[in-house]
Amino acid sequence: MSAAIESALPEIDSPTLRRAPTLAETLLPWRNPVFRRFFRSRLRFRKAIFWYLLTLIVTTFVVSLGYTLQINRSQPPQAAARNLWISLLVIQGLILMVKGTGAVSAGLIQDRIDRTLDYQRLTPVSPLGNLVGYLFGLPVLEYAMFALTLPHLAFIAVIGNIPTGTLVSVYCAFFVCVVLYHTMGIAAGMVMRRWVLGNMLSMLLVLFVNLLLPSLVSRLGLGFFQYLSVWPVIGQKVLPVVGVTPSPGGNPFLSIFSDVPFYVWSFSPFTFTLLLQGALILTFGVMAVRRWKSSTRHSLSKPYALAFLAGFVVLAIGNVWPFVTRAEPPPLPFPMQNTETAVALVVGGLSYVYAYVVWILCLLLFAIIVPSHQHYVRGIRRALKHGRSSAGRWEDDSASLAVYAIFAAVAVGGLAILLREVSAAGFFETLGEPIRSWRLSLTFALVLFYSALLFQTLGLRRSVLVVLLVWWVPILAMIVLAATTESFGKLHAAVQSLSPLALLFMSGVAKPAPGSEVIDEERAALALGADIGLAVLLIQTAALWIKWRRHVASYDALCRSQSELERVPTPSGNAPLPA
Amino acid sequence: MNIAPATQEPPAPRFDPARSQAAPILTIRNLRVDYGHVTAVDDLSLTLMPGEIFGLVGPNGAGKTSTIRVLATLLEPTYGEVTVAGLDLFEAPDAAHDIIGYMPDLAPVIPDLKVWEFLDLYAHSHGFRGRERRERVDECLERVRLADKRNVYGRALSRGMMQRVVLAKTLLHRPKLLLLDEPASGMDPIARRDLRLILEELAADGAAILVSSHILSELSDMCTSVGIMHRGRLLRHGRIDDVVSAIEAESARIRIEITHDVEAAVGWLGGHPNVADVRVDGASVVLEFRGNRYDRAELLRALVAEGFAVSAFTPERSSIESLLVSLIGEEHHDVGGD
Repeated sequence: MSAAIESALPEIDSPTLRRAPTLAETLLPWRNPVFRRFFRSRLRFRKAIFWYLLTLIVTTFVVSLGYTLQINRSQPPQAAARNLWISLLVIQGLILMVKGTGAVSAGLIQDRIDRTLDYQRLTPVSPLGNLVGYLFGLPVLEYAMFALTLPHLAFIAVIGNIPTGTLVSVYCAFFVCVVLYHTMGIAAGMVMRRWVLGNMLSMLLVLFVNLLLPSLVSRLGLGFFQYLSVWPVIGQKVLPVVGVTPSPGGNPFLSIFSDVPFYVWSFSPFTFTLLLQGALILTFGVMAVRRWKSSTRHSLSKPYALAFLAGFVVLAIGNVWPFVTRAEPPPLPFPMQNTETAVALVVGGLSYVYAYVVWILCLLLFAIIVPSHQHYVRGIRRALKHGRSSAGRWEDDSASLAVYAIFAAVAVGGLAILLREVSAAGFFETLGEPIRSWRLSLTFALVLFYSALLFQTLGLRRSVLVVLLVWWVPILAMIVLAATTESFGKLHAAVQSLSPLALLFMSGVAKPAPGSEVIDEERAALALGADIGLAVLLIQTAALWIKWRRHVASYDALCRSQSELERVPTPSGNAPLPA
Repeated sequence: MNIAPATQEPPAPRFDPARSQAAPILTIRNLRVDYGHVTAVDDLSLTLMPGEIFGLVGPNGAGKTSTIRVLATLLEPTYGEVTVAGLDLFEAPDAAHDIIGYMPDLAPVIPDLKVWEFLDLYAHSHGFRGRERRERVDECLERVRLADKRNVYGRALSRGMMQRVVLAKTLLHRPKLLLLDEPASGMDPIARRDLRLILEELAADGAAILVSSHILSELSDMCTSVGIMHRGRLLRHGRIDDVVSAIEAESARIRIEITHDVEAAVGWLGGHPNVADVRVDGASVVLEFRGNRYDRAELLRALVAEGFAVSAFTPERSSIESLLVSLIGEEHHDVGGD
């Protein structure tokens, strides 16, 4: 107990010399009470024996069968052992990354539902100490299962004569990746409400990041997403050991095994993976600690969310910078002739990819930082109590539209830079269809501001309904209409433009020159649709703004009237009885 | 602090908060908690001294649990100031955790830990080490009479046993402020008696205890003071006798026996400004009287002076529950009247 508390309790004896665990102590798992809890409960022999046996049987089967088959095919023992490494890594990944992440999120959700998490919150162990305890304690069974695969790894390493440096760097990246997924599981566990759902979603997300994301997103020009998995390090470190040489020129997925371009620099996949995953671990850690301190707090503060968006923008642009400045040829997403037009098409499309991906990120961040009406009212009451008229702009309970405008400005700034570079490199001229950069940037800014305002005014649940009805239904209606008329005209474009999703794409389409052919009629329809859509979006934004201002006025009036009433003493107030 | 089983010792002398010169352990000023448009706690102010056992009573939804969860740092209030042993609760929550012991309603235990492992986890978290930790766990188990259940899993415990295990957990770090939310729910009569004795012992050692219940009589045996909460507001608080007297003073039922001329007495009483609802009940007249004991004495004097032969004049003492209901009813009426 600190000296401050001792002095605050002059009349209370302190019969014990106990001392709350220090942060340094709780960072050591074996001295961390939470870790010890899970070490006891999850490693109880009768519960864990099934998983131990399963791990041993499967791993031994895979390694022994693979090795025997290769030896029978006259492979030398060294090569046979090395070839098994990737199989072993997959098993280890399934254990620690997939099963472990599910265990982390499900375990934390279960503790929250049972309310036993509250007990741990009320101990003097620091939030970071608790985070470490849950992070390494919840998946302790999976770490034990991983340990059971180590004899097989030792066999592969010794017979395969794998360099120690390679082993160390691969498993270093592997464990950073594991910690990233587990921290993500903790952050999900602090927010989600059903442990079965949390378990499944966490495991699916890990599979998505490792299996779908690298091959899917790399085709869209956002290669840095691939470094959320352990594949780049495997490609860089393991493939040479097993005798496979990736050819970056072919499949874009294989480009992740070569150095990572970032503006005018180049990083090794190992370094870039560690940097990127380290930043995400920090973010998930911040989310978990904030929710740990208060379950009603937003997972991220507004300044952190803004910094995260800015970092993402810098990363996204930096990753494609060599391509848009013609320093390097971009990887082509689909098998196509590597012509100048194909390259221009890919690089020109990067602007749209950037806009849509940053929009999705902004929606996620807005969902986190936009206060509910309940919190907004709480913010006013708190501010009035402290002699202010409203909550500070960057506080959780504030609904400052200026802050949302800053988010939009950061995102649009990135798009403007990207468009300028693509244009300066002459890609639009090659395509012969210049993107209307200013129009696209303006629409993007409005769409972002509208999205924030939507969340702010209608709340998250009703916003989801709007997304379904206003964002998707016009596109589906246009498809049905186009299928009916077997054409695409002004009516189709007008219907489609009601959706902000379609509007963003349409706003970049340039108007055709007078006297063009059939294809230009479609462009003309798109350009007209963009005008209609922009007008509709402006009206929607204005309507939301007016509705929000009405909410603000009523909340202000309500809180101020209550505040005035509270200054008048009431006869049935809380005055203590006379002695 | 004495750690021997509670029932084996004579009751500890009551700590008298009123005579204590110590600083308050808990001070709440203008606490407010809102859930959207619903105000759960409305401008609550309260002080708890060392040795005080304060009972917070009120119907469901009165704001008791919200108040306790704010004090336990589990709920962020709209505003308000709370100091615990001089520490600002919201500025230094981690330090305050070492002073506060919190037991929630329907307190859960971790199902896949044995009872001793459950207690060991929190003893470790509170900084007990080695042999001291084992001893402290055993002491607390003895105290709640569950030493024979130390190797039973949490999932195998009955509701009452869970309450006692969590009470043991709450006592582990010798908190100076105990927050107990409906602690007796699910406990059998013996466990309730043990709980009362444990709380009295802790209070005798100088701890302040805030205990909530929706049953006032459950608290009246163990509390030194009580507060009545309704719709987020603390309607009354003070020593339990004072609160009861004050409620009674506002409206008490009086039974008067008059040997003859009862009808005339009823007519006379009906015209008295402090009297309402006069009716004849057998040989007695029963009426509702508003006023304190001096007003009652004045009524008796006036009756006799008018020439009525009063053979008995008995203010009826209501049960605590009926007083609570009447107080809350008045509050309902006031709100409705507004």
